[in-house]
Amino acid sequence: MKQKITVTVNGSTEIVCNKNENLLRVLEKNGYEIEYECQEAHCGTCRTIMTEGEVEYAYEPVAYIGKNEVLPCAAMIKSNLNLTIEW
Amino acid sequence: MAYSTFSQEKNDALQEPMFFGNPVNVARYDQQKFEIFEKLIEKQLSFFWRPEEIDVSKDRIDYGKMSDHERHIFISNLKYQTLLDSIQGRSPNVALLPLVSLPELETWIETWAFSETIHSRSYTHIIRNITNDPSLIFDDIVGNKDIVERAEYTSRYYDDLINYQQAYNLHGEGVHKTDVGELDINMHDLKRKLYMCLMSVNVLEAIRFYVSFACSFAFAERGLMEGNAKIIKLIARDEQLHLSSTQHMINLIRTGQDDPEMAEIAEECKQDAADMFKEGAEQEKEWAEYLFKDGSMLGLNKEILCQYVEYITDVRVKAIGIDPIFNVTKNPIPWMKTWLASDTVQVAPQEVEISSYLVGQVDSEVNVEDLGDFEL
Repeated sequence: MKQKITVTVNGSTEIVCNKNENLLRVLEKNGYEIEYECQEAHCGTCRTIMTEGEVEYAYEPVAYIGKNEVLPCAAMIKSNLNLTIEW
Repeated sequence: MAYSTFSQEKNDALQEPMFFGNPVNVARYDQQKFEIFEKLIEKQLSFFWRPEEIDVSKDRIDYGKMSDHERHIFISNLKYQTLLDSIQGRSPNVALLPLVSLPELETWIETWAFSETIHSRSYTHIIRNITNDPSLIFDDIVGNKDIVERAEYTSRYYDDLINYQQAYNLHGEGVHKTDVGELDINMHDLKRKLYMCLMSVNVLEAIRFYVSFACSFAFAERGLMEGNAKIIKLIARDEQLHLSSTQHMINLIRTGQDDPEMAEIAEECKQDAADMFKEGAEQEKEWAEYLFKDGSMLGLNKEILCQYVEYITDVRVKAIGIDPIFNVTKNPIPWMKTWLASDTVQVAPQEVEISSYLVGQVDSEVNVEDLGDFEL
């Protein structure tokens, strides 16, 4: 049985998904339009605020990732996440 | 402080700042202060491509069928990109290499500039294919006011940094008369000029190419100039990497992970940097107006393109700690994502002529004479 994970957006909306799912796809499926380009973590366009949680990258990121930031395009969800999406 | 290509000062590169420390003496990559530049080099090398790998022969037919105003859009963009990449193929080397103190950053700058020269070569490849006399296009670039104005804005910051660092190297700190007027030379201003130069390059990689990219992809969305679009897609992938590199440099500086004085300068320059992005975006919107002065193209017009410039500008400024300027929250050209995704650089062979089959090939034409030595 796949392990269920909760992605909390802006402190209120809770999205339940499977562990190891691609974060960008999970957000898109739930109506969040995240701008992205490369889908390989080298352009940084999808940069999003993540205050809590753990992800693993399918591609080694070469785009800048600041403190409390995540690149959803190449991120596989590993634990419950807390995200802030500004638009 | 004369520049030397071989500084004999024994130094530990792990303790140097990115710029203005001891010059790099030994190009060694077994250790890195900022490993990210080594990763960028490896990524850029893995992206290596040559224009000749892409067959643009069908584009000639498409170009022949285009209306005059569509040709104006296509050729003007090519001219603009040709000039920008001419500048980018040389300037990072000339302006930044003499200032660098880390081996991995030095090599990244050279790798980056080299990839820009591939872009320049690809414009010649495209132009040779669609016209019998490429000179008609190339010779017009430097005389085209609308193109030169935008390119000059980028080259100005490079030139300012180059002239100032040359004066600093020749005369040291103090007030000196130079060919570009009287200059009060000091390290603080030199560092400031470097920061603003990095910012102007960031503007170039972040937004300036995207109006042209959008037009190329809009043609290809209609099945036109697909060879050109394949090349632009590869160029866009390289530019994403270059954008990331300048974002890294700027963010390492402004977050105080590098030279503390540079971090102070980044704070001093925050408003100037935001203004530069705004001005860059306005210039690109004027460019969109120039492109569409004689008519729009199917699927793209001036208004959509201007909204896209505003949208992409906000995404880019946020990446370097600047507040959004235009507050456009929705991408007006969602299909751009498809063209800007790396994983779709490869296409199914049945859909179009796949470029990866041609890797390593110089000439795709085979004549009967080429088989002359064959014996059965």
